[in-house]
Order: sequence, then C-alpha cells, then structure tokens
Amino acid sequence: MKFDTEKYKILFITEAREHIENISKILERSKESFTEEDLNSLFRDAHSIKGISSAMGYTDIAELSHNMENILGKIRAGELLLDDNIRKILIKVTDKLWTVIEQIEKNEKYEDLQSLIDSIKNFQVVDKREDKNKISERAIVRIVFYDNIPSLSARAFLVYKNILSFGDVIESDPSIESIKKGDFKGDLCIKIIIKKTIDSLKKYISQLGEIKHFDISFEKSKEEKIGPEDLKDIGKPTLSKLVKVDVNDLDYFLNITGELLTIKTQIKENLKEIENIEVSNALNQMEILLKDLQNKVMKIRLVPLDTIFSNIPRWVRDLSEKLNKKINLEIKGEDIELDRSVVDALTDPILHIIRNSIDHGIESEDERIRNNKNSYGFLKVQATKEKEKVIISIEDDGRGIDLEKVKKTAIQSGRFSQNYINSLVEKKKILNLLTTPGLSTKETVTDISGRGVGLDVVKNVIESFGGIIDIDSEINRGTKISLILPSTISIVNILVFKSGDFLLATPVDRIQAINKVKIKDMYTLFREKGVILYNEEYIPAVYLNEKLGLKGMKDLNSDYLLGLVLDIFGKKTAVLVDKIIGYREVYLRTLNKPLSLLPGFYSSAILGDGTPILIMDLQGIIS
Amino acid sequence: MKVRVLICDDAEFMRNLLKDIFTHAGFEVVGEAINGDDVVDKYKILKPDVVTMDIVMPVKSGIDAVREITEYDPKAKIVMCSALGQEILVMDAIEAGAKDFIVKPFTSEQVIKTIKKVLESEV
Repeated sequence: MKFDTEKYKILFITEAREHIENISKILERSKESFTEEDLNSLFRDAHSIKGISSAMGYTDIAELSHNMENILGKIRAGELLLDDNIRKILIKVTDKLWTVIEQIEKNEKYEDLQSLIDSIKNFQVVDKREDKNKISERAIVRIVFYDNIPSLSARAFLVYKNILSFGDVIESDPSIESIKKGDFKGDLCIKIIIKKTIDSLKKYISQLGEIKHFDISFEKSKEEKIGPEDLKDIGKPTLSKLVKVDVNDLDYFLNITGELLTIKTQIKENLKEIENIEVSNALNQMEILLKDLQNKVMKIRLVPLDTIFSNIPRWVRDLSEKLNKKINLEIKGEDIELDRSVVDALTDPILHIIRNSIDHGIESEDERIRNNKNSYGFLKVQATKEKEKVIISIEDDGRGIDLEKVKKTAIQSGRFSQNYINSLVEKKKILNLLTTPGLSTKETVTDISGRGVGLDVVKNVIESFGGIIDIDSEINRGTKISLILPSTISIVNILVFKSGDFLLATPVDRIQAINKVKIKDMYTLFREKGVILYNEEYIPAVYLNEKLGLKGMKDLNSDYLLGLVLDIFGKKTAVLVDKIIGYREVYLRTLNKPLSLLPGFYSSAILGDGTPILIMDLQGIIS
Repeated sequence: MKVRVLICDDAEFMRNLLKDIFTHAGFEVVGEAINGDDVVDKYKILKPDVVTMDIVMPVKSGIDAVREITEYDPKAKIVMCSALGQEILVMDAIEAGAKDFIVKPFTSEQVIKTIKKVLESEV
C-alpha cells in the first residue's frame, strides 16, 4: 500500500531533526571517547533516522544513516576507536543530514548523497586497537577513605590523579573540580575505561594506606552471554512517565487558565459588597489553586535554551569554514529554561548575531596575527538567569564596532539629522542606532549576513516579549550583544490609562515616571508635539490621541495632562494622556489578525471587570 | 644501596628533624636545601632518589620548585611536607608533579612509610 507521504512529512522532519540534534550534541561533547550511554543513544538515533527515512521513501538518506550506524556499531564492538578522523566523518554525516532535511522541508530537491555514502563505505577500519592483548574494560572503582585523615581532599586528589595513569576516567563522583575545592567527604567513585590491567589497578589501590575499603565492579559489555540471573531484571514493561503533547494544547491550557483567573477577579469584584466569609474563603482558596495550576502550566511550557544552543556549534562550524576563519566557541547556560514561544522566536535573532560576529566582528587569521591577537577568534554564547530575567549574551573578541562609522552611516541613511547624530556622545546611544532599520556599517553586503533579519528585527522580536537588547563594543577588543528577557511571559503589570475616550494600557516597567503637566506650562511646537519640563530638563512631549489619530480630543476643561515619561534610546520623551486609571495585573494574550496589524499594539488583555484592553508599545509608536 | 634523600625546608629545625628520621631509618641524606632555587640546583647535581619539599619558602615556593624539577626530570620523586590548612596548595603541588605528601605534625613511621611507597610505586 502506498501511503500519502506528504501527510507525514512534517512529522518526519520534526522527528529526524530531534535525532540529528541529539547526535550533534553528543558528538560535540565527546572529544575522545563515548560513554556507553552516549554510544547507545547515537546508535538508536542513527537507527531511527534510517527507519523513518526509508518509510518515507528517502532511500539514500536511509543508506547514509545505515552507514553511520555501521561505524557506530564498530565503535561499540571495540573494532574502532573514536579518533579525530572518525569524529569528523560523523560530524560531516550529521551536517549533511541536517542540510538535506532542511531542503526537504523547503520542498527543494535535496542534494546527492551518493559520494558521501561511498566515502564512508570505503572507510577503512585502520584504527584498530594497537594491542589486542591490552584489556579495555569499563570499571567502576569505589574507594572509601578514612574520614579522620588530614588533608583528605588532597589525598583523594592524589589517588584520582594516579588512577588516571591506568585508563581514561569517564566520570567521577564527586568531580575532580569539587575535590580540588577542598570539600571531599570520603567517598570516591570513578568510572574508568581501563587501559592497563585490572590487577595493576587493584595492586595500586590496595597498597593505599588511608582507605577503609574499596571495590571494583565491571559494566557488562553487550557480547556477554545472558545468564538466567540477568533475566530476573526483565520484568513487566515499564511505561514512560513522559507523554508528548501538542504545543497548541499547551497554549490552550494556558489561555484557559488565564481566563479562569480573569473570571475569578470578576467574581471577586462583583462580590465586594456581599460580606460572606464562606464565599470569600472559597474564592481565596480558588485563587491559590488557580495560581498553582497556572504556574504548573507555565512550567510545562518551559524549554531549555539547549534547543537553540545545540545548533550553534554547527552554525559556527559552517560559517567559519565558509569565511575561512578560525574560531574557538564557548557555550554556557544551555540548561536555562524559557517559555517555548520565546525560545522559538529567538532562533533567528541569535543566529543573526552570531553571523554578524563571525562575518564582521572576528577578523581573518592574518589580520588577527597582525594585530597581535590569538590566531583563533573567540566567540562566547552565554545564558544566565538573574531573578526574573534571563540574559543571553553573544560576545566576540573581534574588531569591535567603529562608532564614527555608525554615525556616518546613520546620517547617510537620511533617517536622522546631522545635528542630532553629532550631538550623540554616549557610546550606548550611538550603538543603539544600529537597531534602526536599514543601518549596517559594513559597506559591502556579504553572502552571509547583512541580509535577512537585521538588528532592528532582532530588537523587535526581543521587545515583543517585553525584553531589551543591549549592545556594547570596544574597538579592536570585540562586541557583546545581550538579550535581556523576562523568564516567563504571561502575567504582567500594566498601567491602564485613558487617551481621549479610549482605554489603553502599557507594561508598567516601560514607564520611568508619571509627570503631571499643567496645560499652560506646555510649549506646543506644532500639532502633536510639544515640550514639557521634567526634572529641570526640557523633554519632548507627544499627545497620544493625536499621534494615534484617535477621536475625542484632550479634555479641554481640565487644567492638566499626564505625561508618561519613557526612555527611548536613552532619550526621555513624555507621552501625554488624559487620565490614569491604575495598575492591573493581567494575563497577556497575543493579538490575531487583523488587530495584530495595528502598529504600536502588541497584545491584549481582559481587565477584572471584563473590559478588553489593548496593550501598547509606546516606545515603538514614538520612535 | 642506601636510599639517597634530598631535604628542602627553610626551617633548620625541620631539616634536622627529617635528617634524624631518615638517618635512623638507614637512608642517606645527600643534601639539604633552604629554598626553592637551592633545591632545583642541588637536585641537578646530586640526583637523589627522593626529595622532601616544604611548600611555603622564601625566594621560590615549593610548588614552583616541583614544577622545575619535574620538567628537568619527569621521573623525579618528590614528597611534599605540608601543614594543616595547606590542602589546596598540596593539590597544586600534585598537579605540578609531586608524587605524595605528608602532613605536619607527622611521626617518623609515617614519613618512612610514605617515602617507601613512593619509591616502590610504578604510577
């Protein structure tokens, strides 16, 4: 029976990607040897890719993954040792699979795999173990020290270091780093691939004077025969505790939970007059439970940044090869979690910044050597969590951004007046110019970056989640771009205000101050713009209703207006509104078309009394 | 043949104490050094079987001396003489190439046992 492959294509692509990502992750971290667990996982992944691609009729992808499986099988059987050569081949296959899947996704004809398949097929098993008599076994060594010996950590450190001469340590508990800090407690467990004989290791440990006892156990290798003892463990099949959930269902849960919270607020507000302790207790209980439920749902939606970060080594490898640059990459904080929607949206911005770094930031090897720099460029991608914020920073040690050039391009772009640009002295303000559309300091647009998303798009994406982008650069020292994001997105404090007859809101954290402005103190320049005095400084002021073209002019009977003071690229601006209603805690929901097409509005919310309200991006509107 | 020991400590008291312990155990103390520079020079001339090394010394620390001696002779057998509270420094010395350590205050039995262990060790 021939089934409709189109229908399964998306599923195939998602699944294949998952496996490929897994493989690259393991390849990245295993420089010299695989742990048994990793090897099994690699084997499974290659096998799965083979299975699904042959089911889809992609026979050459199946063949490629089959050959990969073969190599892994040989490593597992001990016929092949993982060396640089084999690692490179595995990486090459993985990269190729990635490209091909991408092409399939775009409905392009994917490239020919035959030459790569042939080259792996012909790959000779040259690197057999040099000495067949050498025993290579995985052992777990456990050593318990007397706890009263002086300098216990140093003792353990010495033992660990000496055990290294018997083989490769795969894992140790506690880690050598924590022993080195001096807080070793007495129990050392080391997983090791033994290169010398077990007896020599036993002899070494047994002559140690300071240990209470030790034991060495072996991990069973696959070739060992299974005896009846082993069958005991094979009991009933255990069901996995995890289930796959459609993201849309998660969105639905989150929405419903948000709605329930809103309804609860509505009930509470309507019941204000009725004094009934039981009702209000029940309501409080409900509030606690709902918040709990909401937290849980939000937590389920969190995904680790690893889903993006695991791609970075490949991106960097591809780009540096293409541009012929040498780069050392460091990635940190991949286990930090963010809301799924944020992680999804961050992929392109991060890729863009990395491209920029490698293309424009990091110099060619020759140039670096000429400037007395390490011939390898350094790129660091790091995520850190600070209270409710997650900061993702991308830092290079390249040539940095030339502020004068930025100013020059800004003037040339025609978006700014020469006077304004020349008045800028602070570095941050000048660097911030780079986030305006159409501004790139590189005169020639290369194939790699300078197209596609620009820093302005990056900024928009980040700001749509209530985040901020921060650029820092030092000429000849490098550039650091930080994306500062809220760790969860949905509940925010908003300031509700009235402009003309319209009820509007904006996130509280965007507003620096609220300033009462006497109308007679306003200096109106022309229709929608004026100047007000704020902290003994004249700042521009904009009538929101006129800027939006809203009907219902400012209340001419009132003596004063309210200025919401904003910081736009370090420049203060006041947005004039008629009335402040107050702060509210709301659940933000995304706008759908056609409302999402409105410039300056990025989400909506329902207030406690059931009134729908649009949430504005005031910065966006003004700048 | 007697085991040839080089003692390095800036305190004369410690050098004498160790000298007594070794002589009593039938070892030959071939030299005494008073700082890190001194011990590196003497090691190259005397080529002892084993060195005992204080950690904190004037001119050049014991850790630097271990590093230099190990560079000159990767098979050098050096035992650090440390005090309580010097654990992190001991680990630095091990990283630099020291083969073992003893912690003050020590008994003569502990010292001899450690030296013998280091001499027999194939690690």
